[in-house]
Amino acid sequence: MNFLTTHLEQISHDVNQILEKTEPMKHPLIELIRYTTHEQREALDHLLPLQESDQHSNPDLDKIRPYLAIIYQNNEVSEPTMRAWVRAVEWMPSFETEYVEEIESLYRSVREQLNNIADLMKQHYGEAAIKYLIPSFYLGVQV
Amino acid sequence: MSWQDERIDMNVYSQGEVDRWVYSTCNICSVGCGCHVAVKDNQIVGIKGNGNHPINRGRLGPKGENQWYANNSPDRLLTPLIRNHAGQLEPASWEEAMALIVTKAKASIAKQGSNSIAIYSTGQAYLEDYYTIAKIGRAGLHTHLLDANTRLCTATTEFCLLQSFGADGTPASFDDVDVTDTLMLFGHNVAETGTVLHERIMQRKEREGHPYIIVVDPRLTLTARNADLHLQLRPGTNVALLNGLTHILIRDGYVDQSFVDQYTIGYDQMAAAVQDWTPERSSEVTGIPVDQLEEAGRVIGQTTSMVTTTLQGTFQSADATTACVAINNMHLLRGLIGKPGCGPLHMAGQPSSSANRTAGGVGTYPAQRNPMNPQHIEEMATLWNVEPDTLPTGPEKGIEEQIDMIEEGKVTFFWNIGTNPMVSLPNRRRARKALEKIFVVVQDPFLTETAKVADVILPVALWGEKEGTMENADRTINILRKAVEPPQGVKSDLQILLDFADRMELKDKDGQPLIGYSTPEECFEEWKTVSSGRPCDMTGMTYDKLEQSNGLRWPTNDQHPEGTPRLYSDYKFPTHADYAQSYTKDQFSGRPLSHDEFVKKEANGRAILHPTRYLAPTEQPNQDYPMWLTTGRLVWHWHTRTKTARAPHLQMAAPNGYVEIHEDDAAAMSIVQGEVVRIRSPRGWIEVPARIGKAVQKGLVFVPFHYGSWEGNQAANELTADFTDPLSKQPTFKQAACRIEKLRKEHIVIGEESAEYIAEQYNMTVEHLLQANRLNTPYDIQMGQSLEVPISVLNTPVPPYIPQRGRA
Ligand code: SF4
Repeated sequence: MNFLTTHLEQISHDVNQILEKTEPMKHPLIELIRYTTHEQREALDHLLPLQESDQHSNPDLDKIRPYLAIIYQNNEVSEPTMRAWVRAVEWMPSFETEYVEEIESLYRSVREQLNNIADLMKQHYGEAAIKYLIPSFYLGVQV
Repeated sequence: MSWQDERIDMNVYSQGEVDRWVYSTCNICSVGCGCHVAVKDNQIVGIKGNGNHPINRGRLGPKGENQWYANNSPDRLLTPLIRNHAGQLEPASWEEAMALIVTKAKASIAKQGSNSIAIYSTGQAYLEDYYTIAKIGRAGLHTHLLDANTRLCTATTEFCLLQSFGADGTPASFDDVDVTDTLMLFGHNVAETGTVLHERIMQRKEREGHPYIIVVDPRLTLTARNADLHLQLRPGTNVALLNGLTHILIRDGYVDQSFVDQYTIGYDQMAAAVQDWTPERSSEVTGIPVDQLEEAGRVIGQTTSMVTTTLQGTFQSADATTACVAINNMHLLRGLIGKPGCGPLHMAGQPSSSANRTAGGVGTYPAQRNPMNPQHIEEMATLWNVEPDTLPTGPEKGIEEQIDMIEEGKVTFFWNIGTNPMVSLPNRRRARKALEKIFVVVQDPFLTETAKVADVILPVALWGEKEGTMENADRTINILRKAVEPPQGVKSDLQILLDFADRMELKDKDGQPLIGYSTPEECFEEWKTVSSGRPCDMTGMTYDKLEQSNGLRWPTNDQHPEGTPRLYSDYKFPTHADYAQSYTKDQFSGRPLSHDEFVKKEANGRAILHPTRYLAPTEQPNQDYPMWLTTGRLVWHWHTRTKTARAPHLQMAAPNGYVEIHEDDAAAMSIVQGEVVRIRSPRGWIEVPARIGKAVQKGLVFVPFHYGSWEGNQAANELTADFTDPLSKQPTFKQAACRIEKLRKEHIVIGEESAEYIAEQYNMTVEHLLQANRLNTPYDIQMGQSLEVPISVLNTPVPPYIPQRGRA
């Protein structure tokens, strides 16, 4: 276990939940959301085992970089898509509308973890090392 | 060249001879017609076409001819305005306005960070303005939130080109339109949006019988009426059509295999994506008969030259970028690119939206640099003499994401330059609510609808009152000379930006002022250095040369001193990772790929074929909202009419909004011609007269989006949904669901009231009265009968524009 593990495990849990809750849904935006979430799932499947091998030290940035990039960049596209889906199913209610709060809360949780990871990565590796990996919007106030 | 000779269109209102004619370029649409501005007594009094300019040879369209009236409009803003504590806008000095802006900007950065500042600019300003916005925004304020209304009109052009070819820059030019055998106008109603280009196409067609014209549009537009083949598809099915056509090309052996093998990558995944898209399946989704699809496939498969243009019907529709990429795929499959008469020509909407993309005022970094490539950021840091670590990186955020960020309290300062988002943004009520919460600067010559959310308004110079360059849809850089001084109290966009940079004390890493230039021409000279070695290299241009040459297409440098009419004639594409403008995005989700993912593709100078997966429109008609709604433009107006409504001729031609309804739908609801109806969507409603006919297909209504006053209840963007394309983040204005509601009152027939008498009471014709009540003859009206009377019937004739006034 290293400084990323608990956060990644939480994201893993949230991602599973998103996939489970959206499974029966048919909305075109859900198709997009599930596509990005599946990619995050796959990235986590690579990332989580790496945490075990790097238990006592900082994870090797080069090893985790490609997977973290996929998780962050997918979140960048799926967050606005999720918000669009919320508007869509509120304008045209269907059974999916009942899941709005749950899905929103799962996304909030993913975001929180990604913010935490961003701050920890900055502490451990320095801002320059993560400049092209973590979008600046996850890094708190930047002046 | 298509034009056989010149024809000088002129519109001058002057007592006696004008004092001088000043060289310029039309500032309305992306065609970029050359013109001269008439000046008398230091006032702009007219315009005439530039007979030497190859784009128009003197011709001007109605909007071009009438654009100068706005300059003399009595309601020009002549002083800054500041919103006072009572919520009223009141006149202020420049000193007060700029001091307030600077205080607020500094406070916003101190409290919320650099990304709390968003600059939202335009496609109507000049390249020099955009470059300066890029420099101030990225190197001065360090914000990553630079966007523009080009997001609404041309973002898809950029992102489809990045996907397929590695960099922005539309491959074909108008010269190719002149010699092509086949022209596909895909969601491009050129007859209304780019009248001079349409005239150019149709004159050749009349003269030579070429090109064969395919029009793809759900409406029977003026453009579609002149087509050899009109593919009238259902809304939101562009990709289903293109997948069907690509399937036919592969099935029937029309693929240029040696071109594909040598110059492209990705064939297998692309082909797999269209494998199931048989003409039958494509027909089922698009509603286009199979024989028409086969015919289109045969024409595209057999033609030896083809240009495909795209505009808002593609860019503002579902699957926007994927549709444009599918078009690029088709050209690559057939090897129809880089040769005379060949290539995709993805258009732009506004006159200089392409310049904003090129100069980096929106989207990626200046001169097509990749914000995810550390080497490109280093280059920019060296060029700007700033520390690379201070430059923001990563993929951009579109305006709709910025609105999300405003709602979340992350953006607190919004600088709106030369655009009117309160009319042009989809679901505008939401945008208004968001912007009302934060500090908003509006830079505009007029008090537009966006003034409602402004805290400070800065009055700016219009076309003719400032100097600079623009880039049109086919990479031509044109110059616009200053004809007159702006009215007293008014400054140019560039002057305001430079003043802001100065007051903010923006410095380079040596403590020198970040912005070292003070005139547009000096700015252009700096910009040329930034463009050096990049796809848009402009090192071979000067202001004087641009005027002498009547525009030059980039790249213009030592290798191409007279510009480049067509890209990729050597079949080398800018897809090397170290040079490309983008590492591309996942074609379905829009996720930006990393450097390593891109390198793994091994494009290395080859174009990229992408799989094109169809995703149905986000909103579709249902029981409550059973009709499709689409929005668009009229020949007589431009965007939110800030300029065109101030031109008497244009305003008279089309003063009001309306809704186009198919005659069968109107008959089913007994709606009469001109009857004011309410169109309601899940977002809001408007009340507009009905224009009944066959221009729209059954089940679809069309509303022009120009009419956006808060009071008029005619704004199309009360209805539209704020969904966006995953790659280009361009809103999908073209597809929403709605219903038509009749607005009727009851009339109980008393005594011997005749049909004539009743109709007269309500200013209606007898015919309309009968139609509204589904009655066959006046004698069907009985005493005591309850009749329905439309609350209002307004004739909304929109006169046709006849482009070909003379033979060229
Ligand atoms: S076609 Fe466009 S550029 Fe040409 S005159 Fe008309 S509006 Fe202006």
